[in-house]
Amino acid sequence: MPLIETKDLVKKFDNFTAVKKINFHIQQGEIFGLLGPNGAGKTTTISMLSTLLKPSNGDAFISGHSVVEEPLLVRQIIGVVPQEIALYDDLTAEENLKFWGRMYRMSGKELTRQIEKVLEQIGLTDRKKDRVETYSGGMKRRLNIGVGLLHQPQLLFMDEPTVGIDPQSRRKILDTVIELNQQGLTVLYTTHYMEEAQELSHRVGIIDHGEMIAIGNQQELTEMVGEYDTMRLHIQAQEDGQQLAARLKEIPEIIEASTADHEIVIITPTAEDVLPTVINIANQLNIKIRSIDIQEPNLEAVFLHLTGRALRD
Amino acid sequence: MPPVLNITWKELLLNFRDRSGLILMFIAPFALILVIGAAFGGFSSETSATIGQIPVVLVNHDQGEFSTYVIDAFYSEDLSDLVSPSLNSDESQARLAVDNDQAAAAVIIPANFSESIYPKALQNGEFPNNSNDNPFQRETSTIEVYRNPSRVISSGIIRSIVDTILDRFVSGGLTTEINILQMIQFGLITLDQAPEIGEKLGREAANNPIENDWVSLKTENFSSEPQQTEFDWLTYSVPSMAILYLMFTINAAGRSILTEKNQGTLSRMLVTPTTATHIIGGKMLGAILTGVLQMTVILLGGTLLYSIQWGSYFGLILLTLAIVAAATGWSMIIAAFSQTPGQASAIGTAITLTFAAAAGNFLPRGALPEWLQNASLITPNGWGLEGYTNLSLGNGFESVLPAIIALFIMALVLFLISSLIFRRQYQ
Ligand SMILES: Nc1ncnc2c1ncn2[C@@H]1O[C@H](COP(=O)(O)OP(=O)(O)OP(=O)(O)O)[C@@H](O)[C@H]1O
Ligand SMILES: [Mg+2]
Repeated sequence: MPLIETKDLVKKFDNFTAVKKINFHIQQGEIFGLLGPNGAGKTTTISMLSTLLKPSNGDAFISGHSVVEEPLLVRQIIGVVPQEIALYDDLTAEENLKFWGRMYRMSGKELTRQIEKVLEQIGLTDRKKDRVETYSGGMKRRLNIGVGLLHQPQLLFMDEPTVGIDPQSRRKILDTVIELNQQGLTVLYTTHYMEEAQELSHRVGIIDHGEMIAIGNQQELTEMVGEYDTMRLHIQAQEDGQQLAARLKEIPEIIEASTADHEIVIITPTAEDVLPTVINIANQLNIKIRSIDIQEPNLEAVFLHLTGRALRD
Repeated sequence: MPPVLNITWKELLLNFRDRSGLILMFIAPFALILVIGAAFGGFSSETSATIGQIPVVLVNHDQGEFSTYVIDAFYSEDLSDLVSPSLNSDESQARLAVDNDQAAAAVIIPANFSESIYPKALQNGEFPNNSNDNPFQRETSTIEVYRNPSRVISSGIIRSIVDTILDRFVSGGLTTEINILQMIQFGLITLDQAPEIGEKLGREAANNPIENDWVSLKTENFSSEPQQTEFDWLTYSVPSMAILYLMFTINAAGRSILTEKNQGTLSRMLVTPTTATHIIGGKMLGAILTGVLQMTVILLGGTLLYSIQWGSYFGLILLTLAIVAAATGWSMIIAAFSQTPGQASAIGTAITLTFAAAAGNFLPRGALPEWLQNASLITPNGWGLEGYTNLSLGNGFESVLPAIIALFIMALVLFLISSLIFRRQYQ
């Protein structure tokens, strides 16, 4: 039996459908990455799986328990790391952990021991007596994760846990996730960073406009794009992007060209061969290229291939 | 610790850690109580510590023997610690002394005082036969206590001393004694019958004090406005400010439901194995405990400051619990109908101030028009002020029972409505 199984999960907000009949399952011990751009429906999906939002239609089962029918049983099994930091600023890290631990009916020595362990894991032991309001963004993020781990859940939902923090803290968080997974924790991890999904996940679901457009392990997904390379042109002026992308699309060897933040993402089977042509066109248009980056097939390419848009738009 | 109490504990921790919250909770109401005290009571010259040796001017226009009872009472050993009397035959000088704050009050005994108690006619043996029940025809007289309005407490004490003395005349043994003496003097009864008849007369007098109002008491302040003699701004300001600031505190507690919704902690609680009902319940219990603590501190402080005598401490405790519960009910309704903390804050402040103005937190409640006094009974303030005022006037538990019941019913209805709304929102 899969640990998570969804059945035609739908969420409507008034007449806007945020999640459209999503079906997937996650096995015990997996790290499953839910990859999608802003507004794709990642948080909405996690909210339904964690019993916070009632599905408009369909159902999901956590360890066989319906999120609609048996929400209290589901909540015993799961831990949640919300996208927005949800802590009490006026309490210390230790007091926050104590409060959230007791919400899971932990107490006494067990609670104290778990608090110490988690503080160690998130590297906040020496700041545990300080109020959260005095913490940096990265420290708050780490504590936000710590609260989710405290009661040793079987399944952890992590909703973009690394947004807005420095590379070092980010690295630490990713390592923690991998370590916990090795100890047996199943993780559903949402992100819009292709690299994170790629590094962490055993399997990835790509979600866009509330639909699961692809699902599989990385090899399966990249095979959808074929043996294509991704080429990124970093350009000086954002405004030039559209014009250059339009011209590049006319080149037969270029499958896709799309603009993102100061970037043009190109999908092509032969990156080295088209490179001179690309530079030529840029020169003709008087567009300054600051750097060029060529990558083997990856999830970004998959997303671009499937949607015609770059992941970060 | 069960999750509900865990939430309650967290609420208390947050409430008492919030410095601006604490200022609003305790400092602000006390500051206002003191300001009101300074403005109305001149309490700087009059705290409970300085009460004692209250200067009082006695004016005796009466030539008869009974006024000396009154005068003697003021000079008695019993009162020597409390009052410092002086005699003055000039009434206008006596009033001036009060107006100039040299005395707390002037007690003016009218010329016909003794006559009203023991008419000359009787002394001369003229025995009127026109009535069986009350054989002695008397005229009435009025003792005036001219009060210094800036010495509310001590002039009130003088008034109650005069009250007590007159009580002894009118319903107590003194008149009975006189009556019996008269009866023996006129041969109406024999000495043997005296104890029996004396007892009978005394009991009658005690049961029907109103029929014996030969002597009445008039209290006067020099302000021309008709004043309720019992009303005392200082005493009133304590429950009044306590209630006003209770509403602010409790509103903040109710508003925290929306704050937690905004900061994500409410959602986070809702994904723990705890129901929405328990979460809201835990928060409300926190609000109630905070409110009770605030009320206790303010009422206790005010009681010590102004030596307020509550008629029933049991009533005081129940009334306080009831008003905190009702205030919590209102704050939940406000939170249920608001979308954001800002909205709840605006609605809460508007309601708090409207309730306070309508119920008489800023004015004596008795000065409000009748319809408003009645209409404002939908507010916790209205019932609360009535209840606390009753208790501070020395009335007992029964006098606040209606307020207590009304407030608990109000709380119950508001809890029910708001939990229906919350259930629709959070589950
Ligand atoms: N409570 C709500 N009411 C109305 N619309 C909502 C609500 N919550 C989410 N939406 C809409 O549903 C869509 C999906 O939102 P969701 O938060 O699930 O996206 P996401 O994939 O988590 O995005 P992000 O990466 O920005 O967090 C968005 O268009 C959003 O505007
Ligand atoms: Mg999201």
